[in-house]
Amino acid sequence: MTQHDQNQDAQLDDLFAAARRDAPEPSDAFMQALFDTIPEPNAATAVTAEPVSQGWWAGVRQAIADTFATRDIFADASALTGVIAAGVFGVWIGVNGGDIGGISLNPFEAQGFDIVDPFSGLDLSYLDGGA
Amino acid sequence: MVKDTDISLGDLADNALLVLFANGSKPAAMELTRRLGPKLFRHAYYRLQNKSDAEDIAQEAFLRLWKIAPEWKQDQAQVSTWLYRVIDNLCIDRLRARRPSSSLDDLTNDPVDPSPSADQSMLDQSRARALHTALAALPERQAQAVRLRHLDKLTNPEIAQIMGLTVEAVESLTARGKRALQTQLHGQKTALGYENDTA
Repeated sequence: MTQHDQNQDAQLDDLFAAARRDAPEPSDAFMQALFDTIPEPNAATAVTAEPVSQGWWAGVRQAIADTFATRDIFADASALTGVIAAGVFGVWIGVNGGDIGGISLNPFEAQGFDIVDPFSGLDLSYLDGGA
Repeated sequence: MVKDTDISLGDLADNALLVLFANGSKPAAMELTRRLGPKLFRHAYYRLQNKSDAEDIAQEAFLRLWKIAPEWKQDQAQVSTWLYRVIDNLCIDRLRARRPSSSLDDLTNDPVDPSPSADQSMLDQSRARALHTALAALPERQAQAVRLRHLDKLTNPEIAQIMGLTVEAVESLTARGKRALQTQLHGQKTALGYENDTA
């Protein structure tokens, strides 16, 4: 590198230094404005609080949801828990013979009708080949 | 989990501060702002030569940072690198939106300083203007590399990350940029207060 090149480099470096000195310092107001851009942490993802008390039915649903959630099998178990809970409820009704706390689920029985099969011989007739 | 009170936030890397912020620490975001805000403001100013515009751009860049913080991947990029890129893109948009004739008129005209260093200040101002005008005439990538290297004082590897280039390509860009600047400014040496060497 010649003396001429060195002088040119030095002068250019001097210009860069002048430009850096000439740049304004960020003001306090500007820094405060930058701080003001910071959102409150987790504001967008805040989780709503659970109700203080919940019924046993909600408890069953939550327990099922928790089971699937902790196993991480399904991304969203909330819909599935409803189906499973309904299934459990159906089995329970079957075991109790359609009687829930003394209330019959049979609509005819509840209205005082006896259930009678008017075609009691028809099944056997079909088994015999009809006619 | 690391808590604000366990260690000094000033000792943490930028990326760690951003992750802390994403996990609920506002002081971590404030530390990151204190650390990078002034640098990014100056970077925008070197490009735009307008204090108000530089402030707007820096604010916008930080707003975008807070927005993407929850999805930030620590191994993906440096926070500062990402911010420099955002600032550069925002500056380009801002310059495009300006009227062509206003590029030199937007230079800030601060009140004249009556202190003994006023002469030096005025000389700095005229030299800075000449440099920025010459930089604006360079090809975009050359000018960007020169600004990042010689005004922002970043290292070549940092510039390579920001510009998406190899370190060698950055060295080549800055070398060519400096030569082009010297050619452009050669005729202004006397006006800028330099002896006109003829060697």
